[in-house]
Amino acid sequence: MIGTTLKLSLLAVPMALSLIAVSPASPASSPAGVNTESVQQSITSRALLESEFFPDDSSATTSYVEADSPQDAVAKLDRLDQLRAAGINVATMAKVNYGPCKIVAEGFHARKSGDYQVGGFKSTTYCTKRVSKITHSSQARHKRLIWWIKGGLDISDSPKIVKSGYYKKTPYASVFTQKNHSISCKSTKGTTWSGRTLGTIDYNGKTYYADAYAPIQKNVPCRP
Amino acid sequence: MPSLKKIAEDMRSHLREKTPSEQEIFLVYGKQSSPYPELDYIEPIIAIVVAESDCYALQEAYKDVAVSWETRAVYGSAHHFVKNGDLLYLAHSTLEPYTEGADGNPVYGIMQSPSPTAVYCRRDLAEQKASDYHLQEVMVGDVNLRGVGELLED
Repeated sequence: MIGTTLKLSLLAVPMALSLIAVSPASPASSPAGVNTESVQQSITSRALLESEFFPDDSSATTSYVEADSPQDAVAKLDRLDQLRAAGINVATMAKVNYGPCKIVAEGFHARKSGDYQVGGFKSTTYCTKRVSKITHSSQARHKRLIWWIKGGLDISDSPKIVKSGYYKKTPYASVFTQKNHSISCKSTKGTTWSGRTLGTIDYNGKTYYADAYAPIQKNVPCRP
Repeated sequence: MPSLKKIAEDMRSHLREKTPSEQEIFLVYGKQSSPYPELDYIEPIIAIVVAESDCYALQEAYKDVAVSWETRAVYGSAHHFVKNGDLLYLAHSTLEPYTEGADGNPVYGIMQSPSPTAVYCRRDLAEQKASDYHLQEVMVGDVNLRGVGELLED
């Protein structure tokens, strides 16, 4: 039996508001508003250089920020980074509203069943408050020479009901893990993989965005 | 005269060559209809095995379950041969509710698509390297369609 009967506390857990730079792979215009399609549009499908795909500081965990669009969220975080680099105390002057959630992506893995092989990665949003909606849109990329090439369709998921859960032994009011990211592998040749998830949350009538990069996994037996 | 940096790189390279590689095991998943009303399916880890032939055997034995598997390196196994009956420790970052307990409170676990971040061959190593992760203890070779092993309480 692999369950545990821990009662979840809905008390807010203090969350560090880390200012993590995120930069768009290739900003595309996207309408303000929250729907899966607009999030999907913001993930480019062309091959990317390493410097285009990964921001300078692609830390694994990212905070959600209030914004009109994913691009607006990225721009706000970039501005904060510039201010901090200039030695300015951004905590006292930053006009950025953080949501009660963070997003994190895990490494790409390949799974076999009979004669076919699939690969994918998972990403998790965890929140100190109950949020009304969480949406993830994930895109995997594999490395060929110097390029990061799109490795399948963008795949979105959103829970019917946002539930509580645990992330790293801490209870959170809302936790969602995208589990449906899966692409077909045409061969088992060792390949370097990563991926990016754009997350959207609705909280108190406002929309917040964040993105997370899956850690690079080398020699994964999956070539699309 | 080689630089100190070059000497250090050579030494690191030499040490890498002398270090035995960590063993790989197979995590076996079983996607099936859910006995829990809150979930539309479950896909727990139903076994850990050391040979891929065992994965195919499980696929053959449980035709009403979608069996799949992936290889994982076992940390700390370079000097220890992993075999049936050994205990391994899987580190999970997330627990989700899958049912309600008798007291009406949610029961948390890893019933639906678990994705361990690492596998360790010793509990003390797992507790040291993955101190903020939920640990699942599994005996190699055991099979349970509802999820093999157990989550360890702190």
